[in-house]
Formats: sequence, C-alpha cells, structure tokens
Amino acid sequence: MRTWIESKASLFVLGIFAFLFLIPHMFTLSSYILHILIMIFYFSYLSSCWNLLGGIAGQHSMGHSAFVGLGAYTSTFLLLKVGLNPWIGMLLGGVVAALAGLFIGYLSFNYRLRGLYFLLITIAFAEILHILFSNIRSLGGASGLVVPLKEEGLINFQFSSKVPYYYIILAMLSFIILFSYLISRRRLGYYLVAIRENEEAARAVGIWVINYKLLATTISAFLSAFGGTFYAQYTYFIDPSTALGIGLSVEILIYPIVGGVGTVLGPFIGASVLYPLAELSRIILGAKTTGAHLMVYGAILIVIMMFAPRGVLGLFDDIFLMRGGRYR
Amino acid sequence: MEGTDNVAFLEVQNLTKSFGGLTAVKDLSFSVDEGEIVGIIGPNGAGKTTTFNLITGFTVPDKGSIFFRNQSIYGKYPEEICARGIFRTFQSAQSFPELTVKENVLIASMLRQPSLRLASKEAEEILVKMEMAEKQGIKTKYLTIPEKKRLELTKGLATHPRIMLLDEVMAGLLPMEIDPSVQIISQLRAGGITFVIIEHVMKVIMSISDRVLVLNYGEKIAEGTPKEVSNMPNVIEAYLGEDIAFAQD
Repeated sequence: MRTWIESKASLFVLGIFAFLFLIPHMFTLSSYILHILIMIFYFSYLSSCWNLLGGIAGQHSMGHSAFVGLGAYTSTFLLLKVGLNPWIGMLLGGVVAALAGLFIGYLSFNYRLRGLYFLLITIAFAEILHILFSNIRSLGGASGLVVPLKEEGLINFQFSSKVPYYYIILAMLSFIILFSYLISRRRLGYYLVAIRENEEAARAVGIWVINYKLLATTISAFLSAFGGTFYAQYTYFIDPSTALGIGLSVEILIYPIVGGVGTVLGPFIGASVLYPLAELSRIILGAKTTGAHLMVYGAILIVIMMFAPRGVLGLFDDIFLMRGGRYR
Repeated sequence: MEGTDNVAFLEVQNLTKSFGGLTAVKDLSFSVDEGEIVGIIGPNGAGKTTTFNLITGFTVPDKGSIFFRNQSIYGKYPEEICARGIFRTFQSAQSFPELTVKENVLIASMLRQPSLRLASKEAEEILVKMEMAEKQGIKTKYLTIPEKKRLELTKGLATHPRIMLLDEVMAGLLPMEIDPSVQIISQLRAGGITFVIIEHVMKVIMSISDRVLVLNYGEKIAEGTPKEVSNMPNVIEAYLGEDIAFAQD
C-alpha cells in the first residue's frame, strides 16, 4: 500500500538522501548535531525493520528489542571473547536473531496466535531475554558489556569521529528503505499486505500464510540485529535494559505509528519528526523539572495521533483526498 | 492412480464434523461430475457452509474422505486445495479492504502467473471479462455488497479453478441483479468450470442446478433434479412454511 505522497515522490526522496550523504561534506556539524542525526537514522532503520513485519505484514511485534539486543550481544560477546571482527559478528548476530524470530514466529503462527496475542508473545520473549541476560555473568550481567578498544578504522568498525558512523547508519537506512520499496512492488510485498488485510481471503487464493509470516519475521529479525551491532560499536557499551528492554521496543514501534504504519517512508518520517521534538523538550525542560519533558513528549504524541491517526503520511493523503483527488 | 478408479470429479464420502455436542455435518456423501452445477439447499444451520469449510480445508473434518480428481484432499490446507483447483467464496464476501479491486485480483492471479507483469495483464483481462474494469482503481472497502460478491468471483477466476464452491453469492442482490449473475455462472460453466452452489434464492437454484442436494441438521435428506426435489414431502417438511411450490414454475 502506497500513500499518495510516496507514489509521487521517489525523485524527491532520492534528492533528500543524496543531500543527507553530502551534509558532512558541506557543513561542519557539531558533534551533538551529528549525534542527533545518527540517532534519527538509527531509529528510522530499526523502525523500518519492524515495519516489514508489523506494518506491511500486519503482525504487530512489541518485542523487537529482543532482536536488536541479540545482535548487539552476539557481536560484542564474540569480539570480547575471541576477538571476532565486528562486521562478521554483525552477520552472526543477524543469524542468531533470525533463528530467534523463526522460533517465536513458529510458536505464534503455528498455534494461530495473532493480533494482541502475538504482541504479548513478543513482549514476553523480549522480557525473558532481558531478565536472562541480566543474570548471566559471562554476558556482563546487569552492568553490561564494554566494547574493547581496537585500532581505529573501517575494518574494526571503530572511529574516533562521529562522521563515519553517520555514513554507516545512513547507508543502512538507505538500504532498508530501498529494500522495503522493492518488496512492496513484488510478489512478497503483495502477499504480506494480503495477509495483513485478510488472512482467510489470502488462504483462499492459495497464499501460504504461515510460511510468509515466518519469512517476514525472519527477515525483520535478521536486519534488526544489524542495528544492535551498530549501536554497540557506536556507544562502546551495551547493557540489558538499553539493548533488550521494553523501552526500546516501544520506541521502535512508535515512529512508524507516527509516520505511517506499513508505508515505505513512514518510519523515517516518524523518527525525523518525533525524535527531535523529544530531544528539544528534554533540552528545554529536562534540567528544570525531572520528568516534565516526558509529559510534554506524551502530549505531543497525543496531539499527533489526534490529528493524524494514520500517521503523518496518512494525513497528507487525507488532505490530498479532500482537495478532490482519488485513491489509485 | 489417476483414471484407474471410477470416482467422480469431486467425491465426498461419509464426511462428519462435530463442534462439541453439535454434529454440524453427519455422514454426508455426495459426488459432483465435471461440468455439473450442483445446488445445495437447506434451512439455516443445516451444515451447508460447514460442508464447504470441510472440503476446502478451512475446518478439519472428524472423519470421512474427500477425493478431487482421484486424489485425496482430506485434511489438506486451504492453500494447497486452492492450488489444486478448488476455489470457494465466503458467505460474507471477503476481500483485502485497503487494496484496490485490481490489486485484489492481481494477488489472486499471482498463484498461477510466474511474474508480476503477467499476473497484472491477466488480472486486467479477467476484470474486463467480469465487467469490473471501471471499478479497478477503487479500494474494495468502498464497494457495495453485490460488487464485493462479484469481486470474489473475479478473484476466484484468477486462481484458474476447476471447480468453484459458491456460498450465497446471490444473497442480498436485487432481482434485476440476479439474472446477470446467473448468466455469468452459465458462461463460466460453458468455459469448463464445475460449480457447487449454496443458495437461498430458490429461483436461482432451481433454474441453473443440474442436481440439488437438500441438507437438514447436517444430513442429506434428499437429492435429485430440482423438480424431483421440490416435490419430495420430506423436503417440503424441512422447509415448512417456506414456499417451495413457488420454485416449480
């Protein structure tokens, strides 16, 4: 399903991404601004991974932190113990997360758990991992793992400057957006949307619903784990609550909802709108009154959902429709 | 195996299904020959829709056997049964509501077509054939009930079925909309598709069925040509109060 703005805007989007790639060349950005941009891209990436399963295929996972955490822990643990290159660790983390995705996917779909029940299963799974990892000493327990310092460079996935991280996460984001775009125009994308729209009708036209749901879960988990490794290499530190906690799962979920669930650009737009607002409210209010910024953030969320229940992209669609357009 | 047995195109034997204490379908046997149109009638709760669900795998039978073109399809998944050439419609028409009419048919076409381009081409042809081409850009949630029923038939065609099980596709249609639908089914039959039709609109069943099965409380109580069936005392009794004589003309 495309929104009107997406169907008209591919060139415009290409332009934006070209511009984003050029930003560090054209301006000298403060380390803080770079960090904000990196975090926007990071969450856009994770939310886009979630969107493959939760948005396009309509299987709402609220435990995606499990896959991110598995990615982060796999690469970091192997780097610490056997000195494995983090890029290879990233791939292995993807495989571990994909297997985990396959496991909970099989459990849920084979027993016909969908909707809220799937949501609960995914929360439970992530929380089990969260508690488990907090108590395993060789994984650092609740205090987490510190990424050992290596020689700076692309091979070791470690840089003293933020700029290389900016390019890496932007490349990852560009990839996932292109990937989502390509999927939505292929058999896989149509089948996943059909499953989201009506499982019975999908089965009646010969779509193997369980297999396609498993495929979507596996791909989404595999790609989410890459985000985890990126985060570990970027912050040099992971612990169970930031890498596996429910807070991360909720954040991953919220950006697509704000931007437009199931659309190619929704997660990116959601994160671009919401993350800076959250950051701004934290800067302005965070120092004065503890927790005030969270209230403001909550209020902003409510207002956005009131005026754009289908997300920002859906809002554009509605405005276009009111001006006499029509659905494709 | 194929051709060695002398079994009918679709052969249902001793099919039984209970839900808790209620036996929805009880020891039901019937057969359908290739090219036939078989009607299934019966009062509400007679087990008609359950029979469709059992044949198409949406409900798992308790016992019995089902053969389609000499191969057992008993207990198979709906996806596989569709791939083997059986398409069923749902009593309340099912579609992908946020997708357009064209996309709905396109998704069904993908079952047989190797590429999206070919599937798209076929979907367009079928839409024209079913006189739905002018609706192709509309999201199906905006369609009227008769349009949704027509769309379901269109989607079904796109899966290249050998047999179609239609569950009340005429219900809710205006009298003037019924004739075109009957015509379409006759045309499709001439094109080589076999039909089993559940219908409450007696005029339809009586005019297009070669044979009629009558179910009551999950059991077959009568079988024969429309005229034969409508004169059987037990059928009239099952329909007590309904005007079966009306259908005879």
